[in-house]
Amino acid sequence: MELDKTVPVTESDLGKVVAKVRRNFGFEFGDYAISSFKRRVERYLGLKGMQDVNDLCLALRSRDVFDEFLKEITVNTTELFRDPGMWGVLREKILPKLFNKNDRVSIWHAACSSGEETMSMAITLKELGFLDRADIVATDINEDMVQQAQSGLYMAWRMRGYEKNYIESGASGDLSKHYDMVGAKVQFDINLIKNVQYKTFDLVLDTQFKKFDLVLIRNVLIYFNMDLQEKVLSGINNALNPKGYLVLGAQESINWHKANDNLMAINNQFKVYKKMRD
Amino acid sequence: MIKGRDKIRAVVIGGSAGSFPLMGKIFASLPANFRHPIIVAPHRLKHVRHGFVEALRLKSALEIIEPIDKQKIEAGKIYIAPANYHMSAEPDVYLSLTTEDMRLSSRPSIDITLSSVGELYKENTLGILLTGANKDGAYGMKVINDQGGITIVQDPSTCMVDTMPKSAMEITQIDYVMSVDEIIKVLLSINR
Repeated sequence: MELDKTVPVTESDLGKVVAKVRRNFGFEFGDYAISSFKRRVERYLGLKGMQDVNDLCLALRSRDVFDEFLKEITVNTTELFRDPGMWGVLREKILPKLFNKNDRVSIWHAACSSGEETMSMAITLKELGFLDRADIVATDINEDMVQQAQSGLYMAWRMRGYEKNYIESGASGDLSKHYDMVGAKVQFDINLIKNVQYKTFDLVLDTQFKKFDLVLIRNVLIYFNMDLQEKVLSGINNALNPKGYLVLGAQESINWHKANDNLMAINNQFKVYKKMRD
Repeated sequence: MIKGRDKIRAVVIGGSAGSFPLMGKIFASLPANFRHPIIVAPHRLKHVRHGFVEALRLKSALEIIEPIDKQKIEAGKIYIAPANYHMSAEPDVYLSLTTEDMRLSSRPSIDITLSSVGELYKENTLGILLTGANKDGAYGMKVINDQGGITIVQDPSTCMVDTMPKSAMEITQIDYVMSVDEIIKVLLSINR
């Protein structure tokens, strides 16, 4: 992203976009963290060759434009085994605890993006011998991402970094056993994710009725303001079984959210929480 | 010393890996009663999460924090952008972190931190850009200047790599070009 190739907008410009989207589509951007939302709008205007937010507001009469705008606003940065230390904690502590205590364990990747974390989870479970006993749900607000996640296809040039993450996580297997080279891409063994249930899900508007033993929602809340963080966290909290675990991004925290005082931090460095009671 | 120093309410500093020893020197020179927040965007490696901040902490009388998302900005504290996150100042005076694409091959991006601090603190911003090997920070310094803040770059002749301060001087009117010792004097002078 080149900031200087984007179209600068002011806070009142943003207000126009927020109001337009609220009126036409009932979607609330007013609860997004402002500075990143501003950069994403500026980037979108540059991307589309729009002069200013008035162009955008005119275009935002169409549902198709809004859907596409929403996809471009959403950030989809992810990696296989991102934050290797966190994967070490899952592999050595959390997953053995859950699978030794329960016949089946339910896991929710609450913003799966292009699927790297779900794939990392499947590989970890496979190597621990737990995969057949896991019920994994992977959701994202962006339909395109949900599709991509199911393909198990990743860019080959990224594999060096992923191998490094994998080794750093303390895994003792061989990551390359799980994929084949296909031109400039790698195809991961689709059997790893054949039982994963992929679907679109809006963390703000939709309600999850199923309960989970482990929920991962990493680097998603950072895009929301504190009110919306609290609301989404409460929804996630409700979807957690007692004694279940919640994993956030390395620099996220539930510290600002009193309503979630039934969640106890069991690993501060990697933001792993355990639900103590309903 | 510098004109308009009394209006300063926040300091924001950018620099690449070569500036780490300079940042250490600057932070070691500030007294425990320093009265402004210092918000720092260094170019740092994704895989090296720790070490850099611990080293800075050993030398500084001020609290040095790698913020959690939505952490309040408080006077007299130093906030360092964590590895692999962009850090922005938000309207309610807190810091938010994001994982948007790298900018100019870096996350954290100096431009993102500098420009957001400039937009929050406007004419009360003091922006400082140290040695560095690419043009990250130039746009951020321009935003600070456009908002009426004060801008200082490290004198290119004292830089290990001078691309960063020079790029800023090319795209905006930089107020002061100074050595690190002079920058430290400025920081001491705004603490009155």
